[in-house]
Amino acid sequence: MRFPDFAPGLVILVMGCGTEGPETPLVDEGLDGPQELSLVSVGAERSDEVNTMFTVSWETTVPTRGHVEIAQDGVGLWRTPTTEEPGEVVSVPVVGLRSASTYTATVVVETEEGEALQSEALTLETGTLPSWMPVFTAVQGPEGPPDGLMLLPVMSGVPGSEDHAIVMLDTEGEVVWFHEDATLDSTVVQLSADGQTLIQMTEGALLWRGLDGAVIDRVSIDGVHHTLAEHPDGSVATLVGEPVTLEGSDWLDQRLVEVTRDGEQRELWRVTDALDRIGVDLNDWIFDGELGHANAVAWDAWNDAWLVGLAEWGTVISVDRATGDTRWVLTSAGGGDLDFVGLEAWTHHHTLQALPDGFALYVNLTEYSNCGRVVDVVVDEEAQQAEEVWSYSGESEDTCHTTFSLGDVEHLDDGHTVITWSTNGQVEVIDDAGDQQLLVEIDFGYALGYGEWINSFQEPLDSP
Amino acid sequence: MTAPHTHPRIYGLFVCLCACAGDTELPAGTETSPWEGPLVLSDDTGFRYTANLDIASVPVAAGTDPWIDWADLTFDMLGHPLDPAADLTAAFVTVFGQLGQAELAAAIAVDDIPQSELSLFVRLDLEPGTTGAALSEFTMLGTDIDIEQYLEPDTGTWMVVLLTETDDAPVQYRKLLFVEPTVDDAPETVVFEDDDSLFDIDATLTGSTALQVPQGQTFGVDWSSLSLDGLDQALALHKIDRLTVGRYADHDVASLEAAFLDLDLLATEMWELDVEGQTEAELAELDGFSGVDADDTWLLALRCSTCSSPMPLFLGVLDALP
Repeated sequence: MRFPDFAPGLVILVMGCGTEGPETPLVDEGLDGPQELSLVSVGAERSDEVNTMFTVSWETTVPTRGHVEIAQDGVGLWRTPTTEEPGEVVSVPVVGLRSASTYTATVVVETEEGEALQSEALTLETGTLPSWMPVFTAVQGPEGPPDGLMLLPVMSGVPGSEDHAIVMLDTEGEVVWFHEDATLDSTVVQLSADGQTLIQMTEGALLWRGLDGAVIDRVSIDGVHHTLAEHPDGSVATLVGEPVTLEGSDWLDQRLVEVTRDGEQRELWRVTDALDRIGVDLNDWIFDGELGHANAVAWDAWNDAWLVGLAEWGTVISVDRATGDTRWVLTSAGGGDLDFVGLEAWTHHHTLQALPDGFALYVNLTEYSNCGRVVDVVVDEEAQQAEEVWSYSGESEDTCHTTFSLGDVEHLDDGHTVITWSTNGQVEVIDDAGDQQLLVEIDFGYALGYGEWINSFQEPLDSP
Repeated sequence: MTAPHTHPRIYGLFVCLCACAGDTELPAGTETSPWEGPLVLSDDTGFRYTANLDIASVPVAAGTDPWIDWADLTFDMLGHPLDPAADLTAAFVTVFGQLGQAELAAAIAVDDIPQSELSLFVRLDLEPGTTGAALSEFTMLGTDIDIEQYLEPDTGTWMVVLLTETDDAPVQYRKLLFVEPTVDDAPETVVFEDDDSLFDIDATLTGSTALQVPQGQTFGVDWSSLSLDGLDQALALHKIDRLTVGRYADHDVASLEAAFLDLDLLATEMWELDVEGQTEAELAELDGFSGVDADDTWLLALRCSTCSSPMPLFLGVLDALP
């Protein structure tokens, strides 16, 4: 796959359009004060690998906090978040620019004492999208979706193509960030809690990739597959297959492993630890020898536990992070510690999201329906019950998403829910009343993986 | 055909072309002005077409593992010769949950298949010499899901797709066939035949505004204003990655319209340029191309090698100025 040639002179051009060199004249908006604030240099550099992403850098004579304001055709659009710590030499990522477009960027800095300056406008010219990039279409509901970007893996089913890519879309379905790597297992991507790094999976390894597209860290893990989830401390839980012999047959056990960016790996749990409690009859199992086909992991902050999903056994398990003990098992495989209440036992599912009193789950299939849906399940450990308290399968009663692979659900803090109907090529955002506020669809031949709604790159211009 | 969209740049093109034509209608003093490019393409300078696709439907016994046989094929759905043992490299089986056969055929014809309706997809890579396969050989991304267990009535619209993939050419969908699982007396084999699926195109190659260019010299082309393809559907500029110019010594526009599906085969000469990421190009970059003449028919096309449709995104007739 070829990428379009990028103009090597662009960085120079952009720098030339900005302010550089010592003591560049600036507009002084600040109050008079004892310190002399000035901008020593300002510049913007477009990423070599992500032609819609810029790093804007500046140096001031005294420590400041700052942000970058983005405008187009003289109209202010949005700004980056204010840097957290005062500094003299600062770089911030600018993520959210559309392809083949020209913007201006203005750096605004302010001292602890309230003295402020802004730079002259830098010109940012983004590159074009590669031809393999599918077309996304977006339709917004009457209230519209919340602010943010959709981080999504894109898998190409287009014959002759092995393309895997990560994209970020704005709420109008426009690509504002992309990185393509045919070698990646692009079913999953997550923005690290540091806000600067994307965590990805490739065959036999986890990757931490900068927003400029460059790989920062790589940890090799034989057998790693399907998914990952970051703990707030920066370690990442993932699933690792390992051959095992049970009842005279060869299987692939599923290990839950925590990995740190410096390469430490700690096994917390494995499916064979919980086989008795799941109660599955291995003789009934036909799916390529994987024990349960583990495919989902989520961090449960309320119980200091990891949730693990075993898709083919219709099973969700809570694993104590500190001890590795199995806390509870909810399964349609025959055993388990919890009874289903008001819940049609599922027979195939994908991603999980931990909730204060249970979890959300993407259900692909139940015994009675091949229409996908997302459900919220409340777990009452004392009563040994799991009760379905909410479900959503589509905009209308007639909607049926037969999602033959993957599927993702994410409740946002503001009450919206983001659902990725993966092999249906759709992302849907509904509000807390269940009304559709955004539907994004991708071209035929493409599917979407496990992604994330991100609102940490852009803020309204009038943010405090 | 829908009315062509107008665009502000069209007026500029019109003025430019008139000013450069050098005929008696030009203001005095402009006869010797050199032709100034670039040639600006707009939505009313390109071809328009309608497409229909007739796909046969054959019954097959539900609950079985049918053998799918394509050994007897000699032509693909474009009417081009096909050697099934040598040319086919992969096969798909797709199931569309809520899309009927007629709706799906119509959607394929106009390259507007809704991904949201795809409820099952399995694939089989074909070794050279393969002229048939059992349904159970197809896998989902390499995973055996026992696809045959789903072959039941009322499970959606089943379709078998035969295709050719090569490293250096766009994918070619060669043959399609609907398969209808039925519990009545039905065969346990699916046999492809030459007339199972045929594409029918009705094309008008000349846009309502001609693409007039100077003879015997190369020129630039600017397609940044295009917004519609030949079906009057939205065109995404970034999908354009190849520019071709074809010379047809033995065909006029009318005969090319009649043989639209054979345009690539009928060309006397064809030049090609990689234009990925661009919205303009200089035809001087075409190796060996020195401009058009008034004796032959010349077609300019903008194409997408990653699209599922073989149709150009833009195609227009280059008229040589006197």
